[in-house]
Amino acid sequence: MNSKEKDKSRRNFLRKGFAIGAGTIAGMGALSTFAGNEEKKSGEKVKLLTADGKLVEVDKTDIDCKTADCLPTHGKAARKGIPGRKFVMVIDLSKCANARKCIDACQHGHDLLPSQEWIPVHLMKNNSISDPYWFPKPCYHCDNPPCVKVCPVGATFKRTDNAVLIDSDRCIGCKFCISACPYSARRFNWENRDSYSDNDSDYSPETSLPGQHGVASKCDFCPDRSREGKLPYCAKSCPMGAIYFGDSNEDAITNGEETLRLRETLETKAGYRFMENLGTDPNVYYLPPVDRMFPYKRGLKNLSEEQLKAYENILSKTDK
Amino acid sequence: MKKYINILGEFISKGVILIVIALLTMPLIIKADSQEKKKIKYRMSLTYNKFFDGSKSLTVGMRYRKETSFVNISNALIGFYLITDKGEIKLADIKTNENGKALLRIAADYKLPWDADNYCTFAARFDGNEEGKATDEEILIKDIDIDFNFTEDSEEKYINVSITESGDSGARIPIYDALVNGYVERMFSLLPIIEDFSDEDGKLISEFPNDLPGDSLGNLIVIVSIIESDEYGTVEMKKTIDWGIPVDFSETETPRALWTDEAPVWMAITVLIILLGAWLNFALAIYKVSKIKGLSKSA
Amino acid sequence: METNKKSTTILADFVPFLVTFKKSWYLSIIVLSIIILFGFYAFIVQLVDGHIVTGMRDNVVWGVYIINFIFFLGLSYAGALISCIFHLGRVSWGKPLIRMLEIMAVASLIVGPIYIILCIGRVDRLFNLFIHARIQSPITWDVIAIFTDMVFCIAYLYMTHIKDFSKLRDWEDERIKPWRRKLYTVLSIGYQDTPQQKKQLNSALDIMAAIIIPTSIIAYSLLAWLFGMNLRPGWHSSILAPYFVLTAVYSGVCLLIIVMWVYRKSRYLKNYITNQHFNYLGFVMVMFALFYGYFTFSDYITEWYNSVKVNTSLLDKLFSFEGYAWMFIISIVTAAILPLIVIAVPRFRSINSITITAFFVLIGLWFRRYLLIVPPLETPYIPIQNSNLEWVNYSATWVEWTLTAAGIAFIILVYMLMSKLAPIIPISEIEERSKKIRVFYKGTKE
Repeated sequence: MNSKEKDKSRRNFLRKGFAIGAGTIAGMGALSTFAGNEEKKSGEKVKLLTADGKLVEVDKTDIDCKTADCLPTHGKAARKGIPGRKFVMVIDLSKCANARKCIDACQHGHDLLPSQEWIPVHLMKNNSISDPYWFPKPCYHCDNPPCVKVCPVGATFKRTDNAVLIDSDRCIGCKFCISACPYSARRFNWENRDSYSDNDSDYSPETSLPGQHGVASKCDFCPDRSREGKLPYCAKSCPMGAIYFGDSNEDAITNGEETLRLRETLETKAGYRFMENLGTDPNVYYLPPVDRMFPYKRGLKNLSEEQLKAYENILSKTDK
Repeated sequence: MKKYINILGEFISKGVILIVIALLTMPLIIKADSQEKKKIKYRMSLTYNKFFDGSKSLTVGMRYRKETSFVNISNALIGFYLITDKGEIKLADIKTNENGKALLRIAADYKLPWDADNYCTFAARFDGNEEGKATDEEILIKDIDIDFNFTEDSEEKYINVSITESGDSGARIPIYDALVNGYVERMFSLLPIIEDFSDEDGKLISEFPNDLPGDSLGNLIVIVSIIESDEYGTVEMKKTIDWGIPVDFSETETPRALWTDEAPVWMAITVLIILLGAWLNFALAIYKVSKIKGLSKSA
Repeated sequence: METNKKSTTILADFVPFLVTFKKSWYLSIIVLSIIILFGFYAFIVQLVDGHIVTGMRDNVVWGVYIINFIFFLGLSYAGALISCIFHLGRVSWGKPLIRMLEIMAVASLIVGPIYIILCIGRVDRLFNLFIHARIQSPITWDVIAIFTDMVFCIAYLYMTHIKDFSKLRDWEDERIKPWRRKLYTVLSIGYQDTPQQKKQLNSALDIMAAIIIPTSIIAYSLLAWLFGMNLRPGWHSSILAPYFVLTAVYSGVCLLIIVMWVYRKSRYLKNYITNQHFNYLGFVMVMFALFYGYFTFSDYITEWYNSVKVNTSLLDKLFSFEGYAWMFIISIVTAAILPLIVIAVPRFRSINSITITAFFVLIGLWFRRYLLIVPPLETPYIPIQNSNLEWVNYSATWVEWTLTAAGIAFIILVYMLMSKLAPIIPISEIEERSKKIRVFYKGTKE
């Protein structure tokens, strides 16, 4: 690719709507919807050439605080959502190639064991004729969550910004919520790890860090990153751009490269929710796997023996 | 006699062969030596940004190619220069950070030496170090301004963009055929609403969507920009307009439901009635048993 | 006085049983204590290392602990239910059995919740169940119900002992040591069998029996609804609550038969636990076996007849030999068919055969609980596609089996200790003529 083509592709990248300079030189007037918020300093200094030709150092305001409060909330305040937001995720199944970068990024960002996949990628097949497709399945943060209903101590709760979070300080580990979720989205911390710590004052249900042993855990929609205007780890790291995330109140979703109107996308591309008839009202929509750019088998490369065996129930039914 | 000539001939031919071999291998040895000292070709990119408040920035990115991917170079000392007819002006020496980027911000009121046609040349130079070759980059940028305003008629809303450069005595000269992109700021990204070229008058009129949700007051932040143009760099302008649909940011009351903190009223009452019924009867039985002791005949 | 002489005779039979401690008795106590200590050690291992030492993983999150919880709680509620029915219904042949049932109720009620505590990941936060209780959660209902039932059953157990304590207190026999006599004095709270005291105590017993019956049925149904209200295939079934109550009473009857058989070994009790008891209870077992077969068949045929994939995949797992077919067959044969053959056919009926059948039925019912918990967890709506094979199928570890054995040992221990405190047959109940229950309607004066 010569330099002209490279520039052109970068231009397309920027034009599709990712912020100019967001995260790099942002902060120059990053206005939030509330007047008078504090811009957080990142601690890094940049050189500024002043009007009289002098070179000074100023703080680089790196963090683009999009809400009134940039710091993740703790304790009782964490039960209230980020005001005015309703987070929603749209996953384009025609783009998922089982690259598993979402799983890696999520495990890295939340200090998880390799066996804990908060966004596993399933191989699904609608019927005997249609081709299998890859199906990333985060927690759906349902509007009528069966897990929240059954928690005896109220350790898991639903917020106004759609996120369903777990307060690890209160969870007693009865595992009822794990058995109640029909989508098998919840996990349990079975072992005691060095990085786990109880009653840490820095703990926030929004970051799910540091973890604790003997409690339930799951995908949390990364509200701590949303406060800073950053996409969740999975959406940010998908190389195919299959995961879109946004605020349904704002009617906009983005995968890091392109930004779309939410309602329009769901209307024209037949967005659906998985097992809608269970009445849980999920907040993750899927776009059907039509017009795929590559065959599903691409997702089988670079998988280990054990991983291939996991998909046996579908692969054995496919003869291609 | 012949014997000696033969022996001498043999020696000479052997010597010639040895010398030839030595001559042939020397360059290889020298080459091998210099290969260890051969420096990597560093690639430098230099970009110019102009922001909505008038301040500017120069960004240098340093990286080199390793097999099929690129590796960022940190801690490389970059010199920023302005090149005018009168010579070079050194602006700053900045080291690249861990992402390979060196950033120089220029305050809005710093007078850059734009020439009569509003051009200026910016340069960045890397003098090389033990690992990498020296490299430099120059860009020629024209200073332009983006301005826009909002109009509406009975049916539609419009945004009018004007791309100009400054001319003599404050006149604005239009820029023709500049690719303009317009966005509305959203929480995680920018939603594109305009992508078009400016006409001969440097103007561009585009319809503005009237169904975009805004913040709690209905404000929308609109950004109009020219992105990564070879001639103009990246220029942006930002304004706020209240054409958005207001969104309710107030705290909503959570209803009493199965999945909220407070149970539905009928459930709480039912549990209470059942519990009271059972325990009151139990209390009655205990009371009766406790009376036994009182009824015992004193021994 | 006629009655006194009679009571003298009965008590004379029992006092030696109360005060002699044979060597074999001590040996059994030691063995049982060792098993319980071993279980305690397993608990410490689990506390320190976390639940990773069990066989439970993210898909099958409930295993042997919950199965034991359901099993023992079932025995407990069955014991309470049957003994209260015997009491309220003034069933004369059931009188000798009341205390055995009550001890079963209390001992299982102490062991059962221990299993639930073992299943909880953070035992240090147990009190959150009370501080932050949410009434919408079935577990909260269960906690309230178990707590209520425990208080009621312990109170009832104590109340049924009062009369016997008073008799022992008054019994003149030098074999009863002073510390024992003191204990009986305190425990009988001055009961001297005066008419007013009798009236108070009988009325209190009637009230307790009357509230324990609905309490135990409701409490066990709440436990069943923990599963029945869950969306999962295999659990989401309306038959679960009656099914649980039925299997609970069935297992209670079987355990009662086994306990009766053990106590019958001692020569003192042969007169009170007669062949007739085994006959009656044998027939009760047959009746329950028929009911059990009917409920199980009804549950499965309705799931099998329709075509919903998630239900049929669960049934496939149950009926395939790589899956759970063996366990399924054993649970049906022992619990539904064996009693019919052994007891309904007069040739095979004998005290020993009835007891052996009861034992096998208990095993079959435990397997039934296993089939109710583990296969549905292994077949969720979204098929398990996990690369870690340990996470796909469940197999219990030594920790879980050790704690199961410890629980059984605990119940046996409680029986052994209680039978040394007071006679295992409620003497006072047998001697007294039962007071008829007052029936309130116009015209009768009873």
